[in-house]
Amino acid sequence: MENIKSIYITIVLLILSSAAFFIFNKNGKIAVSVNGHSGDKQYKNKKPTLIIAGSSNSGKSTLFGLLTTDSIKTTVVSQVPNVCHHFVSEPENKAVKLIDFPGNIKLTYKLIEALKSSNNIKGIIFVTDSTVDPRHITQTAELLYNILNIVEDRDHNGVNILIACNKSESFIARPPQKILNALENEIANIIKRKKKSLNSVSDTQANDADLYDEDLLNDENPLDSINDFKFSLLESEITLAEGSVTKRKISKWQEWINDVVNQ
Amino acid sequence: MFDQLAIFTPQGEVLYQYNPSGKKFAETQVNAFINHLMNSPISKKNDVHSKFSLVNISPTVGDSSNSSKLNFSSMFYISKQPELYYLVTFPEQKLDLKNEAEETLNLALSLWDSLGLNDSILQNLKNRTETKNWHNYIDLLYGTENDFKKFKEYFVTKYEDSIAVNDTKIVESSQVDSATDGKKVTNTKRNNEGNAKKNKNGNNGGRKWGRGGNMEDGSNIDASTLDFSEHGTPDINDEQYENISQNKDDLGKRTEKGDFLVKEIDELLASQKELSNQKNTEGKPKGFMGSAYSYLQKNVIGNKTITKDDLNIILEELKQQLISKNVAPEAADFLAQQVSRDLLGSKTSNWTSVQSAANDSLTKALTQILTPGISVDLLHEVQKKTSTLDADGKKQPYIFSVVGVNGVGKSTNLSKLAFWLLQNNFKVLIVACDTFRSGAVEQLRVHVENLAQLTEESHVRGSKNKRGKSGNDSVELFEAGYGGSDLVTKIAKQAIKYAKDNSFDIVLMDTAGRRHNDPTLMSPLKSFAEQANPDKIIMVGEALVGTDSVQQAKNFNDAFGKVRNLDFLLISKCDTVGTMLGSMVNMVYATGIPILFVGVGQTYTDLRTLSVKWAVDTLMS
Repeated sequence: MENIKSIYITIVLLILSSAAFFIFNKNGKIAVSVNGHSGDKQYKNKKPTLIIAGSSNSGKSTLFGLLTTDSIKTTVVSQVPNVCHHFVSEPENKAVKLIDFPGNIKLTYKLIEALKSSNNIKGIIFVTDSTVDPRHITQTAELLYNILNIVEDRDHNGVNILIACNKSESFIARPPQKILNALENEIANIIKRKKKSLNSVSDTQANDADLYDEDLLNDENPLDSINDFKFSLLESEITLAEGSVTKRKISKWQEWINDVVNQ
Repeated sequence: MFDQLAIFTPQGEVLYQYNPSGKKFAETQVNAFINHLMNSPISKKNDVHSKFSLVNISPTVGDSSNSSKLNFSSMFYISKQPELYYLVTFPEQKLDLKNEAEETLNLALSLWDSLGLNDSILQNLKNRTETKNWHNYIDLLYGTENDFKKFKEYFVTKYEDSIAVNDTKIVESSQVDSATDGKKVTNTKRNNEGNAKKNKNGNNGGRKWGRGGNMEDGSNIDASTLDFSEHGTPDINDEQYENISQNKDDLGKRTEKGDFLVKEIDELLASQKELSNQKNTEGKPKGFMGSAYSYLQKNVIGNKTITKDDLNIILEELKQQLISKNVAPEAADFLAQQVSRDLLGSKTSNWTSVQSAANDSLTKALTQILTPGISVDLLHEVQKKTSTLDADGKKQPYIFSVVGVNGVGKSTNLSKLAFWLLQNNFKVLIVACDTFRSGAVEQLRVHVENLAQLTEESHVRGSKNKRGKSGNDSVELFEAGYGGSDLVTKIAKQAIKYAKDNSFDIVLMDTAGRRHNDPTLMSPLKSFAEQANPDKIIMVGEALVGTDSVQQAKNFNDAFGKVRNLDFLLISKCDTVGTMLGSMVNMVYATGIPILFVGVGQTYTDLRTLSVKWAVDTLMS
């Protein structure tokens, strides 16, 4: 009897669902959830994705505008991501989803969630401001550290990362190699500091294990197991290129984009 | 005149900007506004009658990115469909500027509406394939070139018109004042007119710049007034008068044209008003089938456009859930508002009920409110400060001070903090600035003895170190007995000097607990913060407190005056409340100040950094 009951339920469900689909198709609203608004589910996909990230005021949104509309737009601090669902950089290239995430620290969680939930990241364009003094690069390094911790885990096994040194036209712009070295040093320092920091509070209050248990830390962040951090030790392939969005000098970055989207 | 008007999207694209004085668009101002909006969630409406919100932005202390001093007021409006920010910034909070800002916003909004720009943008947002460019992207303003041009033209005309009206008013009033002497009146009138014309002329390219960069005078007024040698006074008057009359004709034409345009704009605005009235009266008849289908959409199928009715009950439930977790009603209201702002008019995904969409949205809102807006890497900051030497070549200690209501665990958590810093091989000086409660100094001494024993096993309790103080070489107590509030600042200053002389890395100052609603107890905090100038002021709040936490955090944050804020919150006794973590939300909501640590027990190791995910999950469970 139980079996028959469950069969009935399945049949009813099937009819209902097909009816629903019929109605949708009639309305022309075919099941695409790209504009869905429920949480960050819209990023949970296997779609090839290209991500623009970086700290605040480095020129991400302007780059997004230049890539998508070939024009320079005046931009201010973004509060939500910019998304282009089927971005084509060059006519013969494959379409990818291009997302530009806000740089504000309060909104970094959106980027982190998107990275965690996507398993087909074609590449990350990490935009940095070349005019920032390498000594004040900590925040940028911390963001990169957080990104790397996700893309270096078992699910991702590294992705292509372009460190795009923006604003190279400025006379106080640092050479890209110097920025890369500064980032490398700072990430090494961050790893050292993280080991000394307090654990974060977790759901089980019983987690009274040793506060400085390194194994526990290593399990969470793949980067923390690296003692002397170098970009060359990573699974991810790091590319370094300078450019300037406002001066439309982004040919090096475009080449990189063409490479990664067609891979 | 206001500083600038900007219309921008939450994505950060500036659609329109206007600067009445013709200066370059200052993004830093808008950025400061957005950052302020994101960090301090409350946008209190100062004026209930106005539909616009007003916030004053002042440079925040400790924000390293804020190199230029920014101090301005901003009035803004956020439209929902599509989400756009209309922002007017102006120098100070003056009444006339406030009115002007309000008028400007009203003008921009109604023009924007009446030209149908919103509809075009909404169309573009719907991803119609035919409007996509070859990158497969749709420009937000695609196909609105004409309307947008009109908007710019109309806005500038109308705004300048309103300014001109104000100017003539002023001129008229000055004429009335000097109405006693007939001849004088005509003179002043002429002068006034002349001046006005001159100004107008100056703006309209009266000066030309030659090829070599030399200035050539376009109008000969300036030259003739300066050239006294050739012309007699009457000549100048004649010439001036000629010029004036010429200009008058010019101006007459211009205003005629301007008037014409203004009329057109006014008609446009009037028709828009009628339209919106019509819209409001339209109702939506709904049959039984319709309501049944919408029920299915709401709860099972998804893909439903969320309306206010759908949300009302759900929001009420969410609010109750939050309140049951100890979130203050005020904060719960705010969060519910965030959710409705997020969801109203949007569509649920397929097979998603409105309920789950609301839950997701609330999770997002909670995450955003609890996530710190600034990087919180204390060790880095400590290292940075202690590695730089001051003018005398001495090491600069990093100074913490803890404040809070009585009995929340200031001393206990201070000691936990000290333990963690000691583990990182810093030399810590603990200062007993609580000179009020009996036994406070003794309590700290016990902590110092404990910490000394933990860092050095051979330490004998009660023994003095080589400087003759309680503690050992790495942790030490600085005390000076009990007394009034003068003593507190004195001790603080002495302690800092002592720490410098003996190359301590960290100074931890314990203060007396005080009731947050007693001004006589709170006022000494300001002078204490000024004199001791701690690098970080940490407020300890207990998770147990409930609704009062909003007021506590507010009052403590305000106690330090305008130029100083609290830096971090430490929420103690989190182990005693189970899932009722509402106080955390309350305090962050009230102040916009991030939680850095949470206390989860009685031992020195029971201090943790906050995990936002953990807190949100607990609150949503």
